[in-house]
Amino acid sequence: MTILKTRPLSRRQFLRGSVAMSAAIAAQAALPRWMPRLAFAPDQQAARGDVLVSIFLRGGADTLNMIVPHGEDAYYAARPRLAIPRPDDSSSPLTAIDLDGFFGLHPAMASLQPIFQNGGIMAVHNTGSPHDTRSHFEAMDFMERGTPDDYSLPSGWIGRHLATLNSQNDSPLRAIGWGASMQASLRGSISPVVLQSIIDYHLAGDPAAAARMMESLGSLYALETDSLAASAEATRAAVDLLAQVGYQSYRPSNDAAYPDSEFGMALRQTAALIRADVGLEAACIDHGGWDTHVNQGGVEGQQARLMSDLAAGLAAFHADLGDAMTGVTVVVMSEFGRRVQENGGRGTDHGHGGAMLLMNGELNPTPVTARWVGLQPDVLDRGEDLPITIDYRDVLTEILATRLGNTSAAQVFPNHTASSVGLFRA
Amino acid sequence: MNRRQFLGSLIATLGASTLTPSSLGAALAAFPRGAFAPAAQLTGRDPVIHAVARLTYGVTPDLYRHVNLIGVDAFIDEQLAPENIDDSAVAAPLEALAPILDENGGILFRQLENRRGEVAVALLGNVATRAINSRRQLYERMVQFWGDHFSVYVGKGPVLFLKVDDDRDVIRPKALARFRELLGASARSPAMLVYLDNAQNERSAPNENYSRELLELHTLGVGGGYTEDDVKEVARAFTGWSVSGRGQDSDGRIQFTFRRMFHDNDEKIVLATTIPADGGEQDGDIVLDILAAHPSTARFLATKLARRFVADQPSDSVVEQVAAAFTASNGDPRAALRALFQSEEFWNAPPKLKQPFEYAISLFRALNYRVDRPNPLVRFLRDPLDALGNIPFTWPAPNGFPDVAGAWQDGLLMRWNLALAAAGGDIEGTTADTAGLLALWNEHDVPFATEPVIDFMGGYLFGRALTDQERAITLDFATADTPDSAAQIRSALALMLASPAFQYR
Repeated sequence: MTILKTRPLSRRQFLRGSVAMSAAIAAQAALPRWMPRLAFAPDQQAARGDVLVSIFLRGGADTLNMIVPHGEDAYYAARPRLAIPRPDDSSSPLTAIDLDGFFGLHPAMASLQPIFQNGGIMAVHNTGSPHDTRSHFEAMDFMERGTPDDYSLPSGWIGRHLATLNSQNDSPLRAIGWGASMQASLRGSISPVVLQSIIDYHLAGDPAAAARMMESLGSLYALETDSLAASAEATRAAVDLLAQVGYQSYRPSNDAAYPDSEFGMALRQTAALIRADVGLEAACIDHGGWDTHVNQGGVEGQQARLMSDLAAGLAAFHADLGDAMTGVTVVVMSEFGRRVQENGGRGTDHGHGGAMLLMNGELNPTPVTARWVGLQPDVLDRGEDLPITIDYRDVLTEILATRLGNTSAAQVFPNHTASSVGLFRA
Repeated sequence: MNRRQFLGSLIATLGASTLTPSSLGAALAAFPRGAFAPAAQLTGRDPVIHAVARLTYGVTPDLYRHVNLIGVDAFIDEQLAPENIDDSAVAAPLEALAPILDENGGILFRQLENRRGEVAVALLGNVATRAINSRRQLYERMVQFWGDHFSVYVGKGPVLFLKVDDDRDVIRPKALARFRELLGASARSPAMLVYLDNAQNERSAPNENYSRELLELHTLGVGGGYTEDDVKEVARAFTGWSVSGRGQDSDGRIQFTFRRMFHDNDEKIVLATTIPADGGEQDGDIVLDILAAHPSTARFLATKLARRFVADQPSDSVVEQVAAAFTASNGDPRAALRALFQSEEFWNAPPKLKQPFEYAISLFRALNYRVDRPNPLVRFLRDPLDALGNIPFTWPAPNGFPDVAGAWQDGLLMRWNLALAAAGGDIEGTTADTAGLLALWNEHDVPFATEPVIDFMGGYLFGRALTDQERAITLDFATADTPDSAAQIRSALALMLASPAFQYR
């Protein structure tokens, strides 16, 4: 969290307000003019795949302390000060919450336990990007490009996914990057919209003058040939569309309580856009602060606070969307996991393999999918880091093919032959 | 936004001024050429505006007049010797920030731990005020460059407070010093020691964070010829490089200290050079000597300088020239900049997208704003810059703000709103000196009418004449609502400042 962050008052006020949805807004939401052309024919709605929500934990999340291998003695040997106690450890008030007899959930993520039990969320362990870099920037870059060790493609994996998918969707909000700048995974030809707040997304001043200026800016930017022109066009269209969403009156369903963090607000707004059916196909959300070299904490502390925010956001999103989660796939990943052995500063250094989280209504009812090989030095990557036995592209390929209706995985992840992981119900 | 105030001052000044023919026309015709000016310039851009746009935070009426008079060569020479530029005018508005900016970061940490916002305001106020008011513009740009190169993230623990020392004692004094001096100062900067955890790097528990970024981001660069073993060895060399001020008996000042008992005194091998045992604190300095003199470092820094001043993807040729000048001068950034500004590539550089902070500052400068009180200005700038992800020192990762267009082209709406606000002219803590703009128009025989002003401002803002289409769109927008010249000019300026051409420098 940036200390300089001051969320605009207007947004808070709007969120607290209870403006009744006007008939006009409701009508717009029911039949928006930007609906994908195919979606008007109900029997073809299935042609549209899930909405993809991609969450990136920036900094290299220590997923060994998130999805805890409590059945593994070597884990406790490597982390005398940081390990999350076994579920049956009566000496600690807070312990790992058992998921399947071997893996457990960090107690700060307890809000996800019922969803794990109902099969609404799954962890994939021993996974990651196979490139051996321990640099944040290289690792993130390769992971978001989807082409480890290859810089030849300038686009990101989600950008290529949307470019290869013929979804007949010309909505200006096909793809959204929440935050201040666009996530590298969205790069490509599809002009995603980057924004922080739906409410604040308009040109200042008198609406008529603003509309005229928008028109003139549109003409000026249309003269350009570079990507700034596309960005301007996408901005204009998104301003028009977001004005019709009526986010002021959005109230989450099922008493879903989003955390009042940037992450929580991004999820809340994503849910609103999914409900409003504005043609959203992919949203990227960042969650930062996971580079826990020093004073990482155990059941409580620095990383526990991050996990608590992450879990609260995911749980609220899941509750809010309810049955609609059958049409939404959430994937959580980080650029690498952290070293198995804790360091001298009560933290962990950059490692290799880690875990991903998946949330969807059609998952196989398995809390944790892993090809676990243990934590003995002879099986560890470089003798010290969790090895990767499931390539993260295998996970994403399965999402693309099974949930997103994209059969061109070879174009999304070139030079990778995916093997099946078995994440979803057949 | 209060447009009446801006228009009021425009009209009042117009009434009071006498329209005298320009004496500058002749000076312009005899535009001097020399060491820096291009033999061949292919962009069709006014070299004055090109030089101003690349070396500074943006054109101002005074700068436009000044560089046209003395020529780009003399201007570049002048900017390369900031110590000779009188900059006393920047001091007054900064006095309000002195109680924070003159203090030691450790004391600030102790006093203001729960009032972090005040320190954050001082840091942004300092940078923004200097960027707008200072005449040492290239120096300010190099301070920005090194602040990004040795990036620390003020969101991490006490780094916010320690950045005050880092800016005042490390980056600013050494911005044009030899690279080895700056590198050494950064390695001992408490902000860096805390940000990259070297303060906790101890023999019994080495921490590789600083070591890795020192190699990857501060000197050799990715692929610069080091191995994972080098990362570990460099980390050992820096064990014990830490900060004071945490003990109960200290006065609270946080400063560099070498903790001998935590240093690994065994032999190290860094990039195939053996550092003998028992070197103590000097181990780190030897590592810095090796890294600063390494050809990969020259090439990495030359690439970053060329990326900042020339193009997102600079050619090998310009990188080689700058790296050679850097090496031959034993790491003198002025020599590197000189080589850069003498290159063909510099004068034929493609458009370079302004980062959001640069764009905001260039709006203020173009409209002849000056900062009187930094704090209200910060209140105005903070939210838009936050939304655009470009408040100085808030990039979380140690690689600094990305310096390529791809990272910044998605915040157009906020940029347009900034242009509207700047053209509105009512920003607390600042004065928009429209008289200076009007004086410039007078000197260039530009009557106070929409069309001639639009034509002149095309050259002033973009360094070229407007295209027929740009001119028609701008004129159409300006004249649609009102017959009043002042209102039309204000609308035209807002649109031109928001237009694609002004997004580039």
